[in-house]
Amino acid sequence: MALNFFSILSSTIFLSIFAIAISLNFRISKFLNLSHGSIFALGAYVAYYTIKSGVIPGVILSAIFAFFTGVVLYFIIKKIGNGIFEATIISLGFAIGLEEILRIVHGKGYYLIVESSLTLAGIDFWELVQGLMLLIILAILFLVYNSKFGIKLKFVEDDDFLARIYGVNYEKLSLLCIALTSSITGLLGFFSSTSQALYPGIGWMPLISGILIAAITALFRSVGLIHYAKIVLIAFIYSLFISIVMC
Amino acid sequence: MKGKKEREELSKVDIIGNAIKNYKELYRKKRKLRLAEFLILVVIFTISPFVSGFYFLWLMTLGIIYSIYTLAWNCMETMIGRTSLGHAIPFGLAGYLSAILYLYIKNPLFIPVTWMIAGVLSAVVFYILSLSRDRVAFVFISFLIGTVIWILSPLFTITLNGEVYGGEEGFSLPSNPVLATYTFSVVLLLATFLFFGFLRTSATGLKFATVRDDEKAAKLVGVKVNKVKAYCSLISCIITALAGGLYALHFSHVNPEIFSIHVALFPFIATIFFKNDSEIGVVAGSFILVFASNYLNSIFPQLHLLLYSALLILSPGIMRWRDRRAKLMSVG
Repeated sequence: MALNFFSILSSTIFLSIFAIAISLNFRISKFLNLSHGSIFALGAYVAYYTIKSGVIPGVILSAIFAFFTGVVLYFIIKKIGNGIFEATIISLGFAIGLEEILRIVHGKGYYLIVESSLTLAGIDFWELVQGLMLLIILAILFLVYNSKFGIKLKFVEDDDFLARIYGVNYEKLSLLCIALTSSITGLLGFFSSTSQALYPGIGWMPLISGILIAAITALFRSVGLIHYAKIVLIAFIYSLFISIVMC
Repeated sequence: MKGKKEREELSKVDIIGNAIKNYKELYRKKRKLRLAEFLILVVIFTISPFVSGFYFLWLMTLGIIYSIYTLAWNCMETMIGRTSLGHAIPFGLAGYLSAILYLYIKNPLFIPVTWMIAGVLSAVVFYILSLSRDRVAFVFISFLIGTVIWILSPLFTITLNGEVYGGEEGFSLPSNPVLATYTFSVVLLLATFLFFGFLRTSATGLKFATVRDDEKAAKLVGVKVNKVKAYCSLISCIITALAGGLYALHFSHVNPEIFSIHVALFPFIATIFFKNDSEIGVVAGSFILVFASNYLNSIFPQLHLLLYSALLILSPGIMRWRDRRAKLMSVG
């Protein structure tokens, strides 16, 4: 079986977005957010209900749902958790809770979004959207890291305690980071919902792959935009490796 | 003046001697308490088969198996300070290996050998992970490995005589009477209970505890830290594998769910309310969780996972409350 370049590229884009969300969360909010998998599933289920009545409202809805799920998680962690371990455990409990609510509502069965496939130059429309999403995320990160706000971010990434002493509003940054990264994974769930069968546990596999990619990239100890560019590179190598193994 | 003189006369050796004497007395008391708890368990488990119906006995067996699993997990937590979220690996591997062996040789007598193999293999993994002093990394990596195995296990199939086994459906094992599994489980639980109860109150247990409290200090006082980690990993994984094997026999079937996050999280959740160094607390926590899960499942399938979720979210607060209460009680 020959390697499919487009499938490797598509997987690279998908996993890069997921790993960037996980990495941003870990570097700024200082915990491993294990609820991203369930938020991804939430985004996919939003697509199931809304895609027929219009893509734009569906996209907005999934982003809003995911954003507020992130906000709820932030406030629970702020109220109960203390430190990286406790925050991670809380996010795991939150993920299981969200997944079980989806399971109670939809049952254990698989859902399929039957949609006439739209292609542009032989490439699936939704995969193109994911590619565009990755480019937008990287562009925003580029702009942010080259601004005054980016200096604050780098400071928090390096030492949040010191950043607080120097007057950086860490809590605000952390809330923004959790909510926005949740929105990213929610949107990713929406965009990739047409290419797979939906079930509540759909997010575990991308979550684990995303964590692996983020962890491998963290070994290089890069900062700022270079770190996120390296995530894309590692995601490509990871996708290539998986494709070779599958062959 | 007289009191001052007396204090001066009391040499440092006497102070240390008194401290050792006090500790010995304390541990003697603790051992007596463990023995009393052990006897209570013996009475409960002896009476149970005579007073309960089939279903209750089946549920009791499940509670016992999960108690063994939690006790074994707790060994890593309280003796070397490693919180594992990947103990579903030895638990599930024992079930899978025994089912695969049974598929090939159809002789149940060899099944326990596979449990030992699963225990030793997992112990190697956990030992390597425990070598790093980073305890948070241990939690993350053990969770990652466990989850990867859980996700990949449905892909594992065996083709034999043209038939495909495994996958989402899993493998079958010989069915056996509930009373037999119950008896084996009770014997293993009581042995594990006694073993950990006495290990914790022995000199070896104290050595283990020094590794948990401060690895560098333990090394300085001559404790072979890596050896302690190896022993702990081996003991914990082998007992977990035995529990996993019994679990597979209890259901006469194993499927990928045996590796699931819910199985991996069970011991963590079962010990939230009880102090980890109390074996009876660990057993009580496991039983309460098994019975509560079963009740919730009867209301709505998998509703117990919402309970798991709530307990996980609240766990940091509950643990802080538990520790405060334990401190107050010890002061009292």
